[in-house]
Amino acid sequence: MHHMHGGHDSERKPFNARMFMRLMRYLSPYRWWLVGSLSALVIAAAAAQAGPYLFGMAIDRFINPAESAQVLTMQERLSGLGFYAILFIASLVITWLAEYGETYCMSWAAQNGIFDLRQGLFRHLQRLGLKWYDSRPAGVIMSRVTNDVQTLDELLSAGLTTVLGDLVRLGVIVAVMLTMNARLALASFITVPPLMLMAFYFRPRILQAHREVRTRVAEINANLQESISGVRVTKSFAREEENFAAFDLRNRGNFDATVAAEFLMSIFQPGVMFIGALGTAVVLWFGGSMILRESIFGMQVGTLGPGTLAAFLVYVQRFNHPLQNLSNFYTQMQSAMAASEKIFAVMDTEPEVQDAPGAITLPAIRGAVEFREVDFAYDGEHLVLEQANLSVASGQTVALVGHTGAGKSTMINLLCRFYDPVAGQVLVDGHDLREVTTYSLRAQLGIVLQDTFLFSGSVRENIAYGRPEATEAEIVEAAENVNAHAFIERLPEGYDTPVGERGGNLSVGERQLISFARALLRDPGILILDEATSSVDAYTEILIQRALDVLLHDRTAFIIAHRLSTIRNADLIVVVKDGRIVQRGTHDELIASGGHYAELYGAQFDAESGPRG
Amino acid sequence: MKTIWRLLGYLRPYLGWLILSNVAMLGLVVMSFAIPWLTRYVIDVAIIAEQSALLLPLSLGVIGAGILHGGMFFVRRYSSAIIGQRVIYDLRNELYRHLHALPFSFYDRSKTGEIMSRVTQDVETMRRFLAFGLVNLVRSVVMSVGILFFLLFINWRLTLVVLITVPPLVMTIRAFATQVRPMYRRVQEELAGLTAVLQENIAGLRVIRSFAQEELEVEKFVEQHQRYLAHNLRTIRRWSFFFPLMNMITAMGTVIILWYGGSEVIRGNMTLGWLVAFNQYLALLLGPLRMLGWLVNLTERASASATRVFELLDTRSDILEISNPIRMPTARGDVQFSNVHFAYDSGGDSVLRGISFHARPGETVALLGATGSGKSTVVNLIPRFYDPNRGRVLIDGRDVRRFAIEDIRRNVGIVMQETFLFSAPIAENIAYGRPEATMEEVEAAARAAQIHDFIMGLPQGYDTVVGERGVGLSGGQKQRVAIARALLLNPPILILDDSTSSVDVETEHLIQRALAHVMRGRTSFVIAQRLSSVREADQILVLDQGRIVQRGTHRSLIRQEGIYREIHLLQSGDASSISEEVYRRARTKALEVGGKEAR
Ligand SMILES: Nc1ncnc2c1ncn2[C@@H]1O[C@H](COP(=O)(O)OP(=O)(O)OP(=O)(O)O)[C@@H](O)[C@H]1O
Ligand SMILES: Nc1ncnc2c1ncn2[C@@H]1O[C@H](COP(=O)(O)OP(=O)(O)OP(=O)(O)O)[C@@H](O)[C@H]1O
Ligand SMILES: [Mg+2]
Ligand SMILES: [Mg+2]
Repeated sequence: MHHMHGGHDSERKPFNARMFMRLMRYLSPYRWWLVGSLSALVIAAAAAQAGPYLFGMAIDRFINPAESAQVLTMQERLSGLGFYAILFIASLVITWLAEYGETYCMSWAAQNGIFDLRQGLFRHLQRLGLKWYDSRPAGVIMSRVTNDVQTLDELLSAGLTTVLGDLVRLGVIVAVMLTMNARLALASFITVPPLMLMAFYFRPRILQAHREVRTRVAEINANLQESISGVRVTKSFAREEENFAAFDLRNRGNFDATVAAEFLMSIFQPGVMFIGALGTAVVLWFGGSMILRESIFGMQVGTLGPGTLAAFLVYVQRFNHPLQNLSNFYTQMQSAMAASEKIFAVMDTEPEVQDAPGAITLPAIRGAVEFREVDFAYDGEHLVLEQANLSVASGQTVALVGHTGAGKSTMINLLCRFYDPVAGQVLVDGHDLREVTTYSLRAQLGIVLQDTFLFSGSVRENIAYGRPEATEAEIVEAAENVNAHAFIERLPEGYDTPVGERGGNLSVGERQLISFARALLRDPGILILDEATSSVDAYTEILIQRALDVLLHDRTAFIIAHRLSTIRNADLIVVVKDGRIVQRGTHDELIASGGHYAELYGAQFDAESGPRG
Repeated sequence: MKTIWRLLGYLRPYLGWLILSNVAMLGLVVMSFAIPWLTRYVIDVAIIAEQSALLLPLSLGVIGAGILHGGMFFVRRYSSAIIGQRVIYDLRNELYRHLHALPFSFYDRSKTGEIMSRVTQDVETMRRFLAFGLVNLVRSVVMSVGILFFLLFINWRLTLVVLITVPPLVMTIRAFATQVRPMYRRVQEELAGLTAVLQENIAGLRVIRSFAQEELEVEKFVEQHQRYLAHNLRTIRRWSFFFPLMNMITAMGTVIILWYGGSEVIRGNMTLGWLVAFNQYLALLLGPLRMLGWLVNLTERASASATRVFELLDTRSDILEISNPIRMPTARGDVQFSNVHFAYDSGGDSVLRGISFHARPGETVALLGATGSGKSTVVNLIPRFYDPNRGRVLIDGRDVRRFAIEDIRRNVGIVMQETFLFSAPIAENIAYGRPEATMEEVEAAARAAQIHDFIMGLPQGYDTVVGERGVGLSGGQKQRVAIARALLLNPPILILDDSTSSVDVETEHLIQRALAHVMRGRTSFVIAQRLSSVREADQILVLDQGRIVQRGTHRSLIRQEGIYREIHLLQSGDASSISEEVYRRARTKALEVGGKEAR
C-alpha cells in the first residue's frame, strides 16, 4: 500500500541555455540590483585577500626585517607595524560592507524574481483544468510550487554569486601568491590537484547521496501523510501491524541512505583537512628551505622572508572553499535545470479549458440549457457520454436519474465547463460554453458537488464562500432555507464555530447542508444539485424541497438524486444509462411509457411499500 | 532541560558508540593543538635558529599530525552520525506506532498538518541536534577552554589583549540570536502558511472552480506570499549585515595579534614562531565560540521540538486495553447498548442520551433519524472508536472494554460514511483488511458489492490505481469499493453507515440481496435515509437528538403515528397530497426544535 508519487522524475538535467535565459528573464526587472551586487562582490573578494598579505609584509619589513635590509629604529618599526595594522583594519571594514551589499542586493533581485515566478506559477495553476489535476497527486503539484521553486531560489540567491565570487577569489589568491613569491607559489599549488580531485570526486557523490536521503525522507513523509489521513480506516480494519511493517521498511531505507551519505562526508571532510595539513607541511618545508637557502633535491630554491611564509600558510588553506563550491555549483545547476524544466512545463501547459480569444461575457442567465450531440471521455478514449441530447427551457427543473456511474455527474461537469466535450456542444441561453468566459458562466451558477468539501474556517465563512460580502441576514436566510439554522445555532459558537479540517466536526449530513446553503447564497442563474441531500434525512429534505419550490420558481435547476421521491415533481426527468440519455419526460409520462425509469421507480416503489416477491 | 535529558535517554542503547565518539573527539582536540605547535617550532627553531636538519622531520610531523587528525575526525563524525540516526529511527517508529494507538477523538481535535509537522520537522531538528549538535557542543567547550588556558600559559598579556575581541563577538552572536533567529523562524512560519494556502487550494479545487473564486484564491495567496517575501527580505538584510560583521570581528583578533604581538616580537618578548602560531590558535578559539552560538540555538530548538514530540508521545489514548483482555477470535455477533450517554467534548452537549437496544446474532438493525441525530455516533461506539461517557456497550454479553481492541476491530467490519480509499490498486484497497486474501476472495467481495463488472471494464482491471481519495471513480463506485473492502473481512458484525447514499436503488437492491446471502447468520447495522434500504431490518431504531424515539419492524412502525410513518408516506406514496400535511407537521417540529435549542 502507500504508493509514492513524484520525486521520481529526473532530479538533474544538463545545462540548457534557453531555459537558463528564460529563468534569467525573471531577474531582468532587478538588473541594477544585480549590477550592484556584482560590483560589491568583486570588491569583497579582493579586499578579503589583503589580510594575510599585510600580515606577511609587516613581518618581513618591520617585525623581523632581513639583516640585509636598511636598519630601522625600534620606533620606526613599531609605527610601520601600526600603519600596516590600520591598513588591515581598513581592508576588513571594506570586506564587511562589500559583503553586506553583495548579499543584500543579490537577495533582493533573486527574492523578487522568485516571487514573480512563483506568483506566475500559482496564477497559472488557477487556470489549468480539472483534467490536468485529475492525473496528478496533490503532493506532486505542491512540490512544483514549493520544492522546485526553492531549488531555483537557492541557485539565484546563493549559487550564482558564490560561484562568481569564488572565481574572483581564486584569481586574486593565485595572483597575490605569484607576486609575493612565484616559486613558493608554484610549490604550494601542489595541493590544488588533490583538492580538486577530492572535490570533484566526492562533492557530486555527496550531493547525490543527500538527494537520495531527501527522496527517502519524502517517502517517509508521504507515507506518514497517507497514514494519518487514512488512520480511521486503518484502525477500523486493525491494519496497524502491516502498515507499521511498511513504514519500518521506509524508515530503515532512510537510515541506510543517511548513514551512507554521512560516510562520504566523514571521509571527505577530514580528507580536505588533511590536504590542508599537507599544504602547511609543503609551505614549511619548501619555504623554510628557501629562507635557510638550503637546496632541495640539489637545487637552490631562492630566498624568502618568514613573513611571506606566514602569509602562504594562510593562503594555502584558502583554496579549499572556492574549489568545493565550484564542484557544488555544477550539480546545483543541474538540479536547477531539472526544477525549471518541471516548472516551465507546468507554465507552458495550455489549460484544456480556457477562454477562447474574443470570448464574450455571458449575459445574465435566463436559464435555457442545451446539450447538442455531446460526446465526452475523461481520458479522450473511453466515451463516458455518447450523443447526449437535451434541451431545457428556462425556468425548468430537470432531474437526472440513472444507475451509479451512468454519467450524471459528468453531465454536470460539462455544464459547469470543468471539461469540454469531445464532440458536440453545450449551450446556455444559446451561447456555446466555449464562446463565453468561464468566469462569467461560473459566477452565475450555484453548485452543490457530490463530494462535499468545506474549507477550514467558521460556518459563516463557509456559507459566505461564494459571496464574501453577504450580510448576516442573507447568510441566516440561506441557512434557514436548507433547515440548517437550527443546528448551527446549537453549535458551541453558532455561526462562528470552526468546522474543522474538511468539516470534520460536523456530521456528514450537516456538512451537506452547509454546502447547500453556500450554493443558495449565490442566488444563481442555474442551480445544480448533485446528490445534494443524499445524506440528509427525509424530514429535512422535504423542508428543503418546500423552500426550493419558492427558490426554483423561474430558475433553471439540475437535480441529481437517487431518492426518486425527491424528483417526482421535476418538470423534466432525464434518464441516463451507460452514458446515453435513454428517456426524457415528466414522471407521469415516463411511468406510463414504461422503460428504464419505470424499472428504477418500480424498484424503489416496491422497496418502499411492500415485501418483495 | 528536562526534555533534553529525556531525549538523551534515547542514547542509552548506543552508549558504546557514544563513548567511542567522545574519545575520538578528545583525540581530535589534541591533534588540533599539534599543527600550530609544530609550525611554531619550525619557524623558531628550524628557521630562525637555523637548525635546518629539523626542517624535514618537523614538516613530516605536520603530515603525521594531519593523518591522525583525519582519522579521529572520521571516527567522531561517523559514529555520531550513526548514533543520531539510530535514535531517530527508533523515535520515528515509536511515533508511528503511537499515532496508530491514538483514538479517533485525538484526530477530531488535531489538524493533519500540525501532526505532520511534528513527526517530520520536529524530528529532523532533533536528529540534527543528536548527530551534530551534541558532539560539537562538547567539543566546542573542551576546545575553547583548552585553548584559552594554553594561550594564557604561552603569553598571558597577548591573550588578554586578544580577548577584547570576545565581548563584541559574543554581543554580535547574541544580537544575531535574538534578532535574526526569531526573524528566521518567522520566515519559516510564513512559508508554512504559504504551503497551507496552497494545500487547501488544491484540496478545494472543485469548489473554488465551481464558485469562480480563483481571484479570491489568488488574493489569498498573494497576500501570504507578500508577507513571506517581506519577512524574508527583512531577515536577509539583517543576516547579511550581521554575518560578515562576525567575520570581521573574528578577523580583528588577527589584527591585534599582528599589532600587539608584533610589537612584543619587536621588543623581544615573544618569538616570531609564536606570533604565527598564535594566529592559528586564535582561529581554534574563536571558531568554537562562534559555533557555540549556533549550538546553543540548536539545543534550544531541539528542546522545543522534543517538547512537542514528547507531548504527542505522552498523549495517552483514552481507549485503553485492560491488562488481561479477553481474546475473541470470532464473535457470535450479539451487540447490546445499555443506557449509553456520549459527548464528543467532555464538557460539551450530549450527543447520545440514554441509548439502549439489543441486537441478537444474525439480526439486521437499522438506524434512522434526522441529520445530526447521532446515528454515526452510535455505530462508532461498537468497534470502540470512542468510549461512552456513561452506560455500556456489550458484545456477546461482555463490555467491549474487556476485549483486546484488535479482536473487536477484526470482528466488526465498518463502511464509514465518508469513503476513504488509499492511493493504491483497487485490489489492494479491497484487500486492505486482509492483505493475504486470494484474488478469488477479492473478486467475490467485489461481486457482492456489485462493483466487479465495473472493475473488469477498466483497462487495467483490479490493478487500476485509484488516485488520491479515489478521484476518477463516481461517488457510488467509491462507496461500493469500500463495501467490498468491509465484506472481505467476513466479519460477524457489519456496519454500513449510509454507505449506499450515492448508489441507485436498483444497484442497492442487488447489494442487499448479495449481502443477505453473504451475511447469513451475521449481525448487521444499517444506517440509511431511504426506507427502501432499511425496510427488511429485524429492528428499526429511529433516533432523534440522541434518543431512540421509536423502535420496531417496518410493519409495526408504519402502523404507528410518528416520524417513521411520515417518512414512509413521503417516500413511497403519491406524495403530492400527503406532503402538504407532512410538511406542515415537519415545519412545526423544526420550529419546536429550533425554539427549544435556541434558549
Ligand atoms: N475524473 C474522472 N476521471 C476518469 N473517469 C471518471 C472520472 N470521473 C468519473 N469517471 C468515470 O465516468 C463514469 C461516469 O461517472 P459519473 O461520476 O458521471 O457517474 P454518476 O452517474 O454521477 O454516478 P454516481 O451516481 O455514482 O455519482 C464512471 O464510470 C466513472 O468511473
Ligand atoms: N468529531 C466530532 N466532534 C464534535 N462534534 C461532532 C463530531 N462528529 C459529530 N459531531 C456532532 O454530533 C452530532 C451527531 O453526529 P452524527 O455524526 O452521529 O450524526 P448522524 O446522525 O450520523 O448524522 P448524518 O445523518 O448527517 O450523518 C452532530 O450534531 C454533530 O455536529
Ligand atoms: Mg455522481
Ligand atoms: Mg452520520
